[in-house]
Amino acid sequence: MSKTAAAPTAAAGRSQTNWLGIANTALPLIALVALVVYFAARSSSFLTIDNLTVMSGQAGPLLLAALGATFVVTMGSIDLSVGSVALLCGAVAASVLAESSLGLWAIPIGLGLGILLGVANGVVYAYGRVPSFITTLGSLSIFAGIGLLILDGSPLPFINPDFSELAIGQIIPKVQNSGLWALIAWAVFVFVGFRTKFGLYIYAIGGDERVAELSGIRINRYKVAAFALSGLTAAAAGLLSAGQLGSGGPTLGSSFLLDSLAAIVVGGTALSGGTGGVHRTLLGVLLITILANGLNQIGVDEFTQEIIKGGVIILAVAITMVTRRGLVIK
Amino acid sequence: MTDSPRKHRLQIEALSKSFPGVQALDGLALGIEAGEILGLVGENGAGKSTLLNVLSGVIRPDAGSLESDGGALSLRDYKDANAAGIFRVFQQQATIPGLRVYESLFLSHESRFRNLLGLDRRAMIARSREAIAEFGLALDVRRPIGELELGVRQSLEIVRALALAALLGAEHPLLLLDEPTTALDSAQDERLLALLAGLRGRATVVFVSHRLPEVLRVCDRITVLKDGRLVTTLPAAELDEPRLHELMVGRGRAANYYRESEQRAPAAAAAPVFRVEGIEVPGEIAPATLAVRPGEVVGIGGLEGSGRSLLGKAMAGIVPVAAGTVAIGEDTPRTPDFHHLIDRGLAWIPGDRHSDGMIADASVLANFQLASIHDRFSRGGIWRRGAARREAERWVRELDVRPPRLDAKVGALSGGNQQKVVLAKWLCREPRVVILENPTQGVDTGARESIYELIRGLTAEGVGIVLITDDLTELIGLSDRILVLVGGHIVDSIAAQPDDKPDEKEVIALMSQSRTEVAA
Repeated sequence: MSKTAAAPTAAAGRSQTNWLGIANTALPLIALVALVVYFAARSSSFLTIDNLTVMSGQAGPLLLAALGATFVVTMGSIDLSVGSVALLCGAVAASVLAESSLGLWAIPIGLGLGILLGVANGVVYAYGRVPSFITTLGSLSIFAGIGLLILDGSPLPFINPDFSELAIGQIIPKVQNSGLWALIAWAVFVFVGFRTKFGLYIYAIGGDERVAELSGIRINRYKVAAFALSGLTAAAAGLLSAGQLGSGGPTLGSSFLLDSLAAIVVGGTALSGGTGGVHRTLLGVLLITILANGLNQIGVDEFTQEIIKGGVIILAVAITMVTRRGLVIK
Repeated sequence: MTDSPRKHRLQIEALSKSFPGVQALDGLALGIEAGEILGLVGENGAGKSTLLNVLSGVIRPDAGSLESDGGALSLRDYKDANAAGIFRVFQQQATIPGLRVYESLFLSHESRFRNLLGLDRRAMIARSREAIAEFGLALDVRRPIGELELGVRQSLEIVRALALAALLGAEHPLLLLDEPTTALDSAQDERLLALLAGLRGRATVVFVSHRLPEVLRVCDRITVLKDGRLVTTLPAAELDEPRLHELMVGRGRAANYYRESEQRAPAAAAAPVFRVEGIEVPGEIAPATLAVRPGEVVGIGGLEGSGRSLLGKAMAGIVPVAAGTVAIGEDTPRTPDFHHLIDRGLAWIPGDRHSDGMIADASVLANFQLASIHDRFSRGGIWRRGAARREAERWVRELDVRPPRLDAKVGALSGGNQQKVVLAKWLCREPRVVILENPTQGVDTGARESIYELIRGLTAEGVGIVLITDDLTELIGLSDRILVLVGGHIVDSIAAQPDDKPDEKEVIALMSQSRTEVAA
């Protein structure tokens, strides 16, 4: 059919919109509660303080990696390079810590590099007009390759108690610092998304890039900025992971790509852009973390976990597509 | 009209359809006579689209019945409607640009062109040629749709409906035309209307259009809908435009429709508020120079393909220019730059709000504030939410946007209300110069009047307006001066003061000059 049917159906959809909005938030919440109840019933060690502390450490880097990437997805693009940025920045930080006397300068170096890598993605995408899927698919490979060259293919351990403390210490008892930093960053990103010019523009570009441009918004700048933020948070995730492990290794950040996209989508940010947001990504990260941790607790093997995780992603997208279909007849 | 009872092609009885909060159709009864061209008019929200949706099986009514040839019709989808000989030509064209003409004509009915090797393209091509020749269109059916001009494409849609009717063996096809001329300029419009007139007697046509003069001209009878109910059905011969307006909106259309009485001749001595010098887009726009004085409406008229829309974009700095400058007020003339001009007081209001003007899925507030976040609605990068909401509420109230809710999705509003939001988005910036394209396209009569009032209000405040529109009466009614654009050249400037409005025919004649005449 055509757009002609849109007028009455849109009117019809208006009263459903709120209901759908609630469903969009409620579904991940219900899934979250269901998972907690299920795992608590199946494993006595799941709902223990110690395990919750472990989960705060697991969720931290993932939440960070997903934060900037959520802006990119809200903008209607995609960043497939988050895992590789984490690997490369983690590897550089590890080598600074292990092989130089710069010490904690590893942090600004690592984060700065992350921003640069993000800017590189953004420039190729926005000004080179290469679709973000392709740009970041390519840079995924490039960044990972450079990271592996630096590491020469094997883990690079370092000893720096201050650095490790920043990742695995507990400023707030029973909460791993990784989780704390991520939560603080999350709060900042929620504010940026909802209450700043930058955030509003990200939604506008995701909603309709052409209209945003014809409203006088310099969209290319904001595209680059969004990718720079994604690079920054991916680098932060890589540094925290390295801090947790005490080394930079070839598998650093390898789970971030799938897990962060899963968290974004499961949280309810549509890949088509314009809707959702970082506030939702927290829900997605908790879901993914609880799922992985809980499956471990009840003894499901690593490979089966991968299968389950993949299924969850597809299911989440299918649900968002179904709830959106009511609004548009095509 | 003869007195003998005519055969009804379709009888509609007690048709009702409601959407949450809207009674779109309310017990509508209507008989469509075989072989007639029936005009269907009404304001946005009167139920025209819903009626067409029901008749073409796109939506199912809550109550009521359809009867054809003495039998009840139950339409579950568009293919059902096709089987009943009902075909629809859509408002926004449903054509796929990459398809060739013959592929497009029989899209989804390819199974009727099978041969041993699969698809019998030769038969499709032959059949397409016949269908097209029958309507006096001359074109190669192997050309991709995307290469054809808009008017030809729209005509093809009608040919397609009729060709399908013939293919499916429908003896009395019923065509539903939903604003087929909205996107067309005058010349294309004429050709399409001629094509329609040629259908009389061969097919039954329901013709929906906001352009009342053409409805009056081409239709046998006209049905007026209001709020989902039938107002009346009268022979077109007994109606004229003012009467039709009155029936549609329940009040008469004032003689002063375009508020000509508020049109003031700008002081000849006044310094221009907008100066355009030698703007040139190679191959498209010959160096164009114009000046707009405060409170003046400078209209730009031209056929489709004359470059009128592009000229507006070039002046605004949206498309790159090869040469030329623009200046607002006392500014130093410089190469147009969209962002700079916006900051200096330019508003560019696009002609196609769906693709250029609004984010359909975003709220009224989000759309309203979009062009002003960077200066009015943020400070130090932080959104001034309260200020944006207050401004938006003020404009929603002032322009009577319905529903008056800032969180409503713009895509869910009627065309008139969408256009009001797009206007408010730019006018809240208190611009000094407004480039305004097709301000009332797809807008109902009531909203039209408020838009004209708004335009006059702007000129009273000394805003300079460049009006680019394909609606000729609007162009003449609103403008102080009309520049005629032919093939990218400004060939003429016509005075259009209230007491000295040019005749439509005169303007069309000027716009239709060939380029060779222009060169000579």
